[in-house]
Amino acid sequence: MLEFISDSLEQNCANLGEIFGLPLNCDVIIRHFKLGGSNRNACLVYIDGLTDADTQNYAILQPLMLFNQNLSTTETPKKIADQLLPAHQPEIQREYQKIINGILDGNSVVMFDGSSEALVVETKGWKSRGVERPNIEPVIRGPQEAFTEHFRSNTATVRRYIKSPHLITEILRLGKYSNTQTALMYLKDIVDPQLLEDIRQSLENLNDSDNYIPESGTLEEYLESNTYSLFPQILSTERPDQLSAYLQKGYVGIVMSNSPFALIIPTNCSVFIHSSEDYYLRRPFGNFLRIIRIIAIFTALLLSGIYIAAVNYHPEMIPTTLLLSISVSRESVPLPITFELFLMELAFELIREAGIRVPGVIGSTMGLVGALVLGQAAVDAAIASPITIIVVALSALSSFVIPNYSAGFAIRILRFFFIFLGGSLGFWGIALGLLIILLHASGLYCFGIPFLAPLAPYYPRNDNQLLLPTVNRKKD
Amino acid sequence: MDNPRYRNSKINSQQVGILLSIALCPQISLRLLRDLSETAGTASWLIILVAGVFALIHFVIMANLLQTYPQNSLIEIAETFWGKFGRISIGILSLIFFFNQLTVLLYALSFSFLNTIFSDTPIIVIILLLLLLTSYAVFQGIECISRSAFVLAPFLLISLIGVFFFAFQHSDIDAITPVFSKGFQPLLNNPFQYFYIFSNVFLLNSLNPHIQDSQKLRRIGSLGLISAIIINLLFAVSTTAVFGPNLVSILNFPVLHLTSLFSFYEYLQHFDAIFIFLWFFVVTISLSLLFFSVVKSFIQTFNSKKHRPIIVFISLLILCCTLLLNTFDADFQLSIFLVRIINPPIAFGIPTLLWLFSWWYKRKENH
Repeated sequence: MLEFISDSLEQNCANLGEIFGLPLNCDVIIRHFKLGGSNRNACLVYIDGLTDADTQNYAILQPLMLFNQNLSTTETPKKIADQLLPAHQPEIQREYQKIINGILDGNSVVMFDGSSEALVVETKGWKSRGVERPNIEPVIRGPQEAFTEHFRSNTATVRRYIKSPHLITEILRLGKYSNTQTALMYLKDIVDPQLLEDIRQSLENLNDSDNYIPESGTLEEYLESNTYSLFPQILSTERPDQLSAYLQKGYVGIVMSNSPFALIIPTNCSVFIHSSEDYYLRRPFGNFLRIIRIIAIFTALLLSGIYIAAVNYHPEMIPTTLLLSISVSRESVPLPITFELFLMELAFELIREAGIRVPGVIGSTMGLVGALVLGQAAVDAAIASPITIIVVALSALSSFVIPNYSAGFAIRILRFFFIFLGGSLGFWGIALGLLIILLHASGLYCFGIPFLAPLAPYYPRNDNQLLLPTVNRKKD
Repeated sequence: MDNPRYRNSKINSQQVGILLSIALCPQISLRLLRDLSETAGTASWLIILVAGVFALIHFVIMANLLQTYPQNSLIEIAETFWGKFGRISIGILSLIFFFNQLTVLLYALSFSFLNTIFSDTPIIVIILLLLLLTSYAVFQGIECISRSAFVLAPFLLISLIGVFFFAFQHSDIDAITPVFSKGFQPLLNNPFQYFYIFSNVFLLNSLNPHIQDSQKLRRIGSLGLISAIIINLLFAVSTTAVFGPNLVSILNFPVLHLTSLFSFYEYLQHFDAIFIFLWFFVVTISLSLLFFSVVKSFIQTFNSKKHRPIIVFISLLILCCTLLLNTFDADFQLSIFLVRIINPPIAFGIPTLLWLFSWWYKRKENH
């Protein structure tokens, strides 16, 4: 591929036309024009739809075609940019690759005849949705804004939360075809240099081998050390305030173009109980919520399995009156309890998935109606007992309490594993499953940091501890 | 945030203490107490106490040796003294020790499963299941085993407090008052009994190369050992006090029977189910540690590079030997021979020998 542009405008236009596949490719526009006064040939290259026409007209074409009466035919692009272009971010480039990247990013490139330098002018202006409320991580108290697909708007939002010169935003590109702009954000005075170097290295290696990384979800999978694990090894968030909170603790954030989710590295088991809202509430309330979440995790994960194990293998553990009521309610159910519970859990997952896929307000209504109707119908048809419905409903409700979506997913899948173990081996099976999960989690690392880090290896004074730390208030 | 200290994947001193406490506890919940009651009656807890004191003395010797050669196992220390011969001979003895302990514990655990819950399941299925779990643990590495033990430790402690709290409500102090009507003969019947109870202290041999701060080994290890002695003592005292020595000497798994007695009004009628949960963790972690030590000893003895194929090979070997135990002897005669006659001299003899040699070596160098 050609490296630098030449001083022949005709040649440069032909080269760019060839690179972008003109005239077959219809969204790349090369607009030829003459500079006012000097009659010097020039051209404007951009992608239709990615640029703002008003900026192009009033900040590039109008001054160059109408207002440059005093410039000679051999003026350098730098002088033209300094004296004529009111655009806020013109860059002088000679390399084809940088010029192409500029065009692909929605900037406009101005090339002049007789000059081997081009001006890349910031004219991004595609249609995008505005800043909205967070959908996946809503909070009652705290900022109500989420990331969008707009790259610069996302990095700027983080900058609004951390107004410090120590905040560094390194920009790089990922994927040969997607060429996605990716920002590596960190506070240079507190970040672990080894961690930063490891992340940089991983991203560079990735760039050499992978062609299409359009979104942070894809990148997350590439960066994980164990892709087969159910546990999320990198935290993703749609909340700028959460990313900022982590950055000020020394974490590294990755913000990508076209992605309303940022990645936070490294992560650990705290993703299961920590929510950004904890920090906005008073300490007792935040701690109460965390305790509720811990209970919810165990309920979502184990309740179904323990219910099967207790009823099938250890009925002596259940109080007599409760055991009688379970027996009476199961009397008319012909299915084995494991299969019954599995069926109900599966039905619930179907309702949940359908509720997400069905468009608009019908989705949530359908979920609610589906759960009510199916539950009642299953009990009436003697496919499931009322207690089973209660167990499934409790597990499902608990799984919604987990603040991180990926972590919640892991718990949902593992629940089926425990249903199987509880149904086949009773409490031994549950113990076996818990130990396997614990051993697996102990062996997970995120960029050298153990997944169970604040717990094991134990580090008491840590921001990721179980309960919220006390606020250090200045004494009078 | 992430402290660079996290990056050190070695096991810290707290984890070593917990691993040691856990590794020294499972025997008491299996057959140990029954055998002790058979031998010493009401004085069974005294045997544990005396054995604990012996183990502590031995531990101090071993810790001294290991602190002198930090990040080294006994096999490597033997190699520095006696070359290849030392490595292979001490390595094979270590291998025999860990292999015996592992096989017998695995068999006892599987047998307890058969007795308590899976009465219709063939023992090979249970052994296979446990072997798969422990192989996975060893495959994950000693750091993962130690982290898992560390996470579980508070739960184990709470459950132990629960057991002792419930037990003392039903206890009879006369049942644990030693009566020496036959003099001290019962206590002197088998001197090896003082050594085999805590012979798993020898696990430090394979843990030492993975310990982050070897300088704290003596302090933390002593604490771990003392807590293990206290737990064993409390189990022996509470079980004997509740059932009496005569009943304990005929019960298959006395501690399990003890936990099944407790109830909390009518809401939690069988405490044993919860105890079984945690007991399973304790025994599996101990099994994993022993399995790890077998693999480690094998690697060090035969200078092997790849440990993963060895895990599979050793699993098969353990499976065969455990089944052999089952075929030969339902009453643990062979296992008693293995654990009480062969293992104590290895566990206590090798470190003492090496310590004496290092002391002599140092003396010689000073002169």
